[in-house]
Amino acid sequence: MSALAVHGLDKSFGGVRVLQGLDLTVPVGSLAAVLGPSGCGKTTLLRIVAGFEVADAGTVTLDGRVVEGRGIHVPPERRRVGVVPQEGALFPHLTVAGNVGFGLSRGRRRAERVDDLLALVGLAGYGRRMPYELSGGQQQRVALARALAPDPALVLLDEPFSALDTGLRASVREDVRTALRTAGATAVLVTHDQEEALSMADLVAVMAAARIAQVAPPGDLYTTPSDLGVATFVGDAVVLDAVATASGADSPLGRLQLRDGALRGPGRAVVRPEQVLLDDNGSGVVGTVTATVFYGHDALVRLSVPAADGQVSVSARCQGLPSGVDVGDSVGLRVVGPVTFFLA
Amino acid sequence: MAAPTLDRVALTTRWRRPGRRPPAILVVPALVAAGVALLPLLYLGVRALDGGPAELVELLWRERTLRLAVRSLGLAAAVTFASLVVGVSLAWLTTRTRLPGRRAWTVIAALPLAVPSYVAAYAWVAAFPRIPPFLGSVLVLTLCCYPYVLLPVAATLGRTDPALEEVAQSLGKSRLATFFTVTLRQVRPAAAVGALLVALYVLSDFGAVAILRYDAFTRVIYTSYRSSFDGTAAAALALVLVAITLVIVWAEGRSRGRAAQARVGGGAARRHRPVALGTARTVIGLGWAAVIAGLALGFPLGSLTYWLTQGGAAELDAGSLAGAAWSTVAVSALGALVTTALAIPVGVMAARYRSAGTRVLEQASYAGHALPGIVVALSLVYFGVRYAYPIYQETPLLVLAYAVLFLPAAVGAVRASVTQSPPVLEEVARSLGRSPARVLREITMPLAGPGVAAGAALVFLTCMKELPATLLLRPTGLETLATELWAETEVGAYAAAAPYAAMLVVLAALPTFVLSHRRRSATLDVPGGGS
Repeated sequence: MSALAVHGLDKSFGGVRVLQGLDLTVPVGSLAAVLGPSGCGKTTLLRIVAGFEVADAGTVTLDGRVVEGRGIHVPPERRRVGVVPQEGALFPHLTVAGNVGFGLSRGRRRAERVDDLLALVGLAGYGRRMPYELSGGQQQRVALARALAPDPALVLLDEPFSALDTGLRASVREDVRTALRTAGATAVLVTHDQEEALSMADLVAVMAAARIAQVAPPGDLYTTPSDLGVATFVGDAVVLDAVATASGADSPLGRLQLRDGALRGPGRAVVRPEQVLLDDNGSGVVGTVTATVFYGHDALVRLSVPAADGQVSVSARCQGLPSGVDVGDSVGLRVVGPVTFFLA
Repeated sequence: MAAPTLDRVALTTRWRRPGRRPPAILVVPALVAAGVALLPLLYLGVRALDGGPAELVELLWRERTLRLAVRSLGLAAAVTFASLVVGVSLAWLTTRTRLPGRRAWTVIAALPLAVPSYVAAYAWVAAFPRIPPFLGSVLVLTLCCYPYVLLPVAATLGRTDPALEEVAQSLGKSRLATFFTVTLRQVRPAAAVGALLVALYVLSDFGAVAILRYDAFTRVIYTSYRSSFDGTAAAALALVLVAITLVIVWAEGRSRGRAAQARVGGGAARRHRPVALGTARTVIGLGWAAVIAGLALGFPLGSLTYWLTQGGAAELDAGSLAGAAWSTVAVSALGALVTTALAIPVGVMAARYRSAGTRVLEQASYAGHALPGIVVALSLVYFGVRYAYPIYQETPLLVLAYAVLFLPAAVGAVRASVTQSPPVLEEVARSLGRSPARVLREITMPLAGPGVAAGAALVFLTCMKELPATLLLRPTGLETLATELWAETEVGAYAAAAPYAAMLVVLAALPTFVLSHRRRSATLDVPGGGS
């Protein structure tokens, strides 16, 4: 069963279409990431699901119950949707325990539940602190505990890690992932950071032009993007003009093996930089090095390769520092593994 | 504790609240507040037209009207110019130089705000009974008003990015040239806002010009009201004064808008390194600051102390002093309570439900900003006599006048403090199962509470110092410190007036101290959205 089902959602602000016929389904217990560039309408989607905005058209269903659309607008306080905003937004006048317990009814089990949740997010014993006494990462984890406390049908996270330092971000991400998993919660994370989406989520929904372009597990999204837009948005890509034949596609990087061998005709091939190797091995393709960029764990070599109508720019990812490769050198190239192909 | 870098702008814009319709529980009381605020202005127009438009024109189309306007505007111009000189120079000395005792001077220079202008006027006229009315008024009002220039200019000087001045110097400008081409230009919007506030204050001031016998609009309106039973002439003059102040308020609104644009963008700029003054300049700087402090604070306090020790004060009836103090506190507390209660719906709507309608309501509640106290008092006197005789010269009508006059301050405080609590907090509370009413009670009000309370304290303080409306509208037999001081000064009984003035200064100092202390601690510990 799906925890969240969104159908045909429309929303405009002052004549600008922010969402247009958007569909999204999230299964129970999974973490879905909505990935898209800034200003693509991700946050508006979240706000409609939470009940802070009213949709122009379309429906939102939570656990089989329609909460938005068909003339229904269930107010936020009756949706059982937890929210973790970008900056945590802890109530500054309440203690950590007061924040976490805010959504719980006053009862004998409240204190116990607050302690459980603080332990879940790794902040046992922090209950009596005030929000300003916490670091950014701790605030974010308290915000998660607060959202999880009333056992919501769905948790929405709106770019929850973007305000954190890069170093802190990875560890908080992992903590949040673990906490959501342990709580068995269904969650939707909105982000513009593809690394975040690919590393955290069970399902990634790529958003572009006011709708969802593709929903897939992170691995599938990377290897089999549904269109050229998704292919270039998710991960680095070398896009080459090519012609598909029965024995592969002919391209400036030689003959490429296609994932879908049934395709025939001219189109574009998407090659990932890690598929491009800097050795000849009989391919006969030679490129000229235009730049090398060293990242520490790997390096990127940019090359210029002759093509039918001039030159194309190609990137190759190398382990460590590429030795003996300098700008201006000519090196042999080949592509390994199957590539994705889109007919023109 | 190092707060994480939280972007307040992001807090308020990202989870922007759509222009939803405000609930009736806010709209109805806000409409009442706006109606109260507009009542004196509307009724003044009605009253001035009592004898028909022809009579109004005849009343105003006289040389006297022009002479009055020239006198009032001349006084306003002189005081504004003098306040600019004093305010900007002290602001620079206290923010940008190594003046010895800089921190103490910062506080001392702002203190004259707590001295009511009529108390200062009393101090001067008691010491120099033959002081020329115009010069006396310029002196007294400048010493009371220059903080209106000093405070915004000092804030701007402390906030502007030193990089701009450093760049100018690196481009070959001398320090003096930099001051004129860069520093003063940055300060100009803040100084303009302050100058217009001063002009507005001078035009509405009644106490100082009346005690110093300078025939500005306010004094002539009062005497004309006193001397004739037909109030049409007074109402007509009041109408002209309102027209002048409206022009000033309009100009102030415009310059405020520009000042906001001129402000250097977000983030904490580096602090300015204070300029070291040479020995001679240090002496000049210290001398200037000391002279101003001596004239604005030392002289009134000294004069008060002197008169307190004179014979007349000894005959003081302690009972009447205590009685006046008690009625001052009582009517002022009532005024603060009613004004704040009226301000809350307007302020909450202005902060949370932005629309053309709420903007009109908010603007209406600011009417008192353009209305001199004497005008509001006069209008409510006529209104009371004609339509509300049961409350004429009773406490409710006086409290109503306070509400009209000080609603702008209270609405501003409510609005600012509600804006400070980010809407995202309210949305999170909703998502955790709270109804809008409970969110207001559990999140919005606790967060806005301290700011609203500070606004109420400010209104309380200004009510205690208020003279013209209290004078005209006080219940029969009720005397406040201000009216006692006025009555004794009017008959030249300076020694008898001293205890009331002293008590007023002491009572007014308390909330002033609390307010300034609060502001200082508030800047240290801003309750951030997530922090």
